[in-house]
Amino acid sequence: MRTFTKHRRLIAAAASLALVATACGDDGGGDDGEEDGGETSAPSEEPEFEEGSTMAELQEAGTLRVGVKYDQPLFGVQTPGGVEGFDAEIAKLIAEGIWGEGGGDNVEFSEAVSAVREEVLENDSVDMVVATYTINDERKERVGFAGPYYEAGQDIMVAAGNPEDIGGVEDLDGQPVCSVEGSTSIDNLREMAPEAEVVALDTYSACAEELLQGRVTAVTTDNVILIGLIDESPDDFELVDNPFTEEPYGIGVQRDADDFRMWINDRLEEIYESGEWEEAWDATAGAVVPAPEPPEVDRYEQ
Amino acid sequence: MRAIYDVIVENQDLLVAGLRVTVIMAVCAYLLAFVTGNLIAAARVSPVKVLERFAALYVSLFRNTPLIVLAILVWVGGGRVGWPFGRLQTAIVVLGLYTGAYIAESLRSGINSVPVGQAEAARAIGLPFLQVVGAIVLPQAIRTVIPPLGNLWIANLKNTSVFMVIGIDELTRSGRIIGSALSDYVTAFAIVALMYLVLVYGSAQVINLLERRLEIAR
Repeated sequence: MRTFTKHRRLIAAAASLALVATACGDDGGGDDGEEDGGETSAPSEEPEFEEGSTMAELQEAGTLRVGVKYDQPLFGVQTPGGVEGFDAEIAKLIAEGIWGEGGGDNVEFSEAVSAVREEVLENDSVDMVVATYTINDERKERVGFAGPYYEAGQDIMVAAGNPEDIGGVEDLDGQPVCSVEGSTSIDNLREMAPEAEVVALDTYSACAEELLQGRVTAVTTDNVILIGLIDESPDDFELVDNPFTEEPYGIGVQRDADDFRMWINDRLEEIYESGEWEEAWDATAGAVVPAPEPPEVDRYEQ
Repeated sequence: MRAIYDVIVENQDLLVAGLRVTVIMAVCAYLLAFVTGNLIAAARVSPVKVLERFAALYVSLFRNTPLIVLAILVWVGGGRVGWPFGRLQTAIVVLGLYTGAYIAESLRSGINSVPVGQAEAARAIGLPFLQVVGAIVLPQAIRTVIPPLGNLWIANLKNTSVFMVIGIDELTRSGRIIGSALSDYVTAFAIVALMYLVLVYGSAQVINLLERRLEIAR
């Protein structure tokens, strides 16, 4: 009787041990099998990096500090549940390349308003900036750019249904068009549609109101801003989706982190390939415009 | 100095266009304001209680609201409920009604300065109220208040710049366009300030002349 009880105890202990073991194993192994949605390019285990590389240091540190916009609808918006938007998704996908699946949780977001984006990299407050950040030569003097991961550009917003049948900037001649004074957008408009009747206001939301009331035919500025406006009133506005300038958005890294920059370029190509880039778009800005083709990364020499 | 001169020459079309809009707005708004001001002032001193109340309400409404708020409210808010006027017309109407409230108050103080005996005498010989006001009191009142009316013209002229916010391409807007193109707002706004100065100084001379010609010798 006694031995039997002892036996049962042993069996029970062994069984529970086995249960615990499978439960633990499930965490990593199970996910791989159950991925029936989009495929993931993230390795299931932590990848190894060359010792001394920026990636190895980040992996060791356990966090990726990312500067994003907090107020750019669909790209970077601060919500009670964290930062949401296309830029935030891209940052998480990059983190998955460093730590493997679930690495997105290691991203630590902070706000990087336009004027401080070089500064936060230079003073090492962040490891990278994904904040609707246009690549240009002047900025390349101070920071490194991976990407572009998105090709933005000046576009046109019209009333829903596009009553005036605006197909591009050439159709704006002779039409009342709203933009914001002091912006490059309004200079581009004056240059590319010289016959347009330019209405200059202080904010894009004021322009949206003019469009809503039918006082102007179109509003023009960066498509990312327009996408944000359309997201707020999808029944009233639509995007022409025919950009007439090029604003390649890059991922800013510290200027001396060249290995990191080149690695991000590889990582971007991975997520282009796997379809995760498109998924990230569809989940965010895709609410307003369909996913474009991902742009080709530019591995420039510093 | 040389640079400022070059900027003026290079942008003269834009500056002249802006100046033109500013002057049109100022003149039309002031004419409207003058008519409105007289009507409101007359209502304000009229024996009809309803008219007097209305005039008081009108004055307090327009004097207690910033012009920029009125401009946006009428243009944007009005647009939603079928406001019939275009951009420039709206600016003229809003500015005219606004300045009109101040003109009414100036006139009222002028009216109060006309000895009561004159109105009493006019009524005693059987003149109806409108004639008492229009033929006896107001002509004297207006003369007394020419200096404040001149000040209001100047304020009215400068207030036109507010209507940039509803998209009027007036002189201040020209300054902003030039400043943005040059990336030099100081030069651009120095030019614009100079142009306002010339306009205001010029009209002040005219007002002085009017004042001397129409002054009542007392």
